[in-house]
Amino acid sequence: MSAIKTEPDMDIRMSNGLASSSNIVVPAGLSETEKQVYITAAEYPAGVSVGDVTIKIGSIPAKDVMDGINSLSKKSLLEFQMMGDTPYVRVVQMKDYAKTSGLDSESKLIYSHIKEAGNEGIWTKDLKKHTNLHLNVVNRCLKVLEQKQLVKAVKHVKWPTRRFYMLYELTPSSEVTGGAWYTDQELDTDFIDTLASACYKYIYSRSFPRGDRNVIFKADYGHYPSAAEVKRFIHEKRISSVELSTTDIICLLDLLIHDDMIEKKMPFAGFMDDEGDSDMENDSGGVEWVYKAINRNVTSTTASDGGIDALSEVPCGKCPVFKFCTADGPISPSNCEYFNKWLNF
Amino acid sequence: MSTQPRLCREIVLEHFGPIVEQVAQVLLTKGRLTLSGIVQFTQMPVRTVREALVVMIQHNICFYAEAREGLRQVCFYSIGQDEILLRLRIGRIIYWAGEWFGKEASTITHLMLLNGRLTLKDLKQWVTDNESSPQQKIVVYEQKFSQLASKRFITAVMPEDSKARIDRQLEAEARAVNEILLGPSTREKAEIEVKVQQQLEDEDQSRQMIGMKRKVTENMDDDVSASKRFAFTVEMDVEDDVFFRINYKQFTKYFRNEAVIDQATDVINRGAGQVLRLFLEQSDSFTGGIGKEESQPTSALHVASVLPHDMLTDSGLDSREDSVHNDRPTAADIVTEYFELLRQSPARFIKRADNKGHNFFVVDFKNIRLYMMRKLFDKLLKSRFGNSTCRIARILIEKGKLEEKQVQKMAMLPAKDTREKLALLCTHGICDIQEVPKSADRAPSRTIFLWFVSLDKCYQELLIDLYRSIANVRQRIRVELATRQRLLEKMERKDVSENQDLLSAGDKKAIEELNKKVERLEVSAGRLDEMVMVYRDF
Ligand code: SF4
Repeated sequence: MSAIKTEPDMDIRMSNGLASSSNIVVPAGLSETEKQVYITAAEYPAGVSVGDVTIKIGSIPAKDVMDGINSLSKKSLLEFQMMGDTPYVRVVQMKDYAKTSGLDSESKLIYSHIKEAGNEGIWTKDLKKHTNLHLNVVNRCLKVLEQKQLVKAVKHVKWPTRRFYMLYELTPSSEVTGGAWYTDQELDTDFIDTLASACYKYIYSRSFPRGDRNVIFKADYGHYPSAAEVKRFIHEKRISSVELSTTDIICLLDLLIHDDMIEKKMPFAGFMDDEGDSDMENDSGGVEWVYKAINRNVTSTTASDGGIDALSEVPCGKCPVFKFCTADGPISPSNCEYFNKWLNF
Repeated sequence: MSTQPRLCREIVLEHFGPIVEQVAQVLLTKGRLTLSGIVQFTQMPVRTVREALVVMIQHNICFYAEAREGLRQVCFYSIGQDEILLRLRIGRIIYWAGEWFGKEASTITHLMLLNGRLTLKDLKQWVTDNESSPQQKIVVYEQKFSQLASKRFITAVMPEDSKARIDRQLEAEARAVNEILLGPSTREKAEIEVKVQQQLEDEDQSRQMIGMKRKVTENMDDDVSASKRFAFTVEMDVEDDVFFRINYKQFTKYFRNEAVIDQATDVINRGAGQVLRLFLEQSDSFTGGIGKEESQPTSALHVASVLPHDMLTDSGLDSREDSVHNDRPTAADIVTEYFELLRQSPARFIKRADNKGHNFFVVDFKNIRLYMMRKLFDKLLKSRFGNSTCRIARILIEKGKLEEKQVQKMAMLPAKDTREKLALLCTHGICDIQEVPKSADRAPSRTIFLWFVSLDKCYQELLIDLYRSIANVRQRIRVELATRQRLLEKMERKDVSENQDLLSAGDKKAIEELNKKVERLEVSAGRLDEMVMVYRDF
């Protein structure tokens, strides 16, 4: 969570860095003191503590500096931030300033809350709760902000019916979109199937020796692929347009395991023992699992392994009236249509 | 009528005809009855009923129990459903007896199943009457007979065979209880039960030597080749006038072994199957029958000593890796390698023997059985409900109880589909819901719903479905045959059976069609029974 929260700050920092301190544009119509304070603060894109500002500008009395800071803040050119117990100030970027300067105070408030929520977005109900504004007011402000393309509404995969807002320029986090597997907030099953079958093909190709179908690898064969290798393969072959993490790949591989297509194995460790098995799991969490295709005759995820079980073979196995069928009732094997069809194929 | 009795009835009708079937039906539906009771319910003459009972007792599917009621001694009859169901396996038994011991053995089992029980003397008589050169044949038959007996594929008929197992158990229990002076406590009762079970088991086991006498040991090397497949042969002779019957248990055991070997061939490769076969033959002895969880322990060296030579050159193992040691692998190498593969395979075919030292392994029948049941069940789900539903079921089986959200996440399916599929599984009784209310009022909104699959229950129900399907197929066979009754009778006529040309073209075509249909049905019934074996007998 905390990692994601800091992301927007980082963005700003970076863009500030680009604006480098030499060509700071000072807004027009400021007093000398204000200018001084503004320039000093602008040298620290990440913000600077109020005390430091006072020290830096030795030429002006501390009280005047404080006044300057306050008046800048009123003009929305500086913003305050608490870091621990010390107040920090940071210049508001020019473009941000331009965005918000024309807004009324309520919209500004809402804007700042949305900004704080970062790429997680914030729910309208929460907005209302945090700002203590009336719902109508909130809606009106949101409308204004939306029109100005300052914020946008996004759908959250977890709560498809709730309206979430975030800054217009942000990309929703994977929490919101649901990660690689979602396209437009919908689980992209086709995409999953394609990838899973690609993974399977790859694992299959490395699970059995080429050539004679009856020849297999020995028990100590050490080259079954791990999740990281599968990921590399997917990446190299450009099968996915989306960047996939190893966790995503493991998710896919688990899916294949649940489909009984592949099995998860401990990599061969030479001295493995019955007792060794469990030990290794316990004390070396870093062991990477490897994966192996289970059935040699199943060459792809869509192919079946040929055989059909005896019960599904006879009509009764799939019969919709199986439960009603009795030896001498109205539905019975003697007059059964399914059997007629089956026997006259 | 519930499923199992219906199938029993179907089998009895097929094997013994309508009269016996009526008696059987009364016994199946009403339970234990006296002779007069049966007569009353069937409305048949006493004589007929009695004959039907004799037939069934002869074939070991009917039991009697004598009880004292007041001054009178009454005799109750009951029917053994399990024994009847085993008769489905007759075709398989005859076939495999032939595969394992040769044509004559297959004939012996056939005769035995026709007559219920058979002595060696009867067999000799039959040979004299039916074979072209009886003198030589008798020797062969006698040999096969004793072979079957010493391998316990057939056993001597004992008086208690005609008693129901439950009666034997109760009797033995009553005897044990009588030995205790005061009434037994609950704990003692439980102990007695266990002891009695064991005792009956032992009785069954010790049966093997009855009816046999040790062979005069002069021609030991006589049929070494034939019996090599089965180690630890004790050459025995069969006494002439002891009745023998088929020992289904022993056959089932070998069927199981074959199935296990097939499974290994399937999951790993042919070589693994071969090694497993050798393993089973090495470790096979008279004990360790069906119902045992493990085989006798054996080591890689033992198996390696009987490894056929072609395995050395064509081991089925990838050798490109081994550039380090170029020399050909020895038999022991290959076997050790396969042992490791068998052990590591998802089916866990073998495991280390518990207290036998490092190099000894046992075949883990319990595990394999569970594995086979699972595999078959999965396959069934897949073909019945499709891939993703099967996936959901598998997830539930593996992870236990799960919430819908979790299922959805793991199965990577849209929420709507997941719900639909869970509901589908639920209506088919494959998964169930467990409610966990969070508050005392048990409001649904504050309740967690957990889905789960109870495998044992599924297997039970599957077995019943199997019975029902087999009954359906069998009934259909009967109907198919009945509609062509006239034609079949014609076929039976002497002149027709001698000269097929008497049949018209239409008749011939009809016969062909009928044969095709019946064959298809029979094959299916056989395969269904194979499934029953996995779920019930292995
Ligand atoms: S016999 Fe026909 S109607 Fe009855 S269960 Fe089978 S397929 Fe269904």
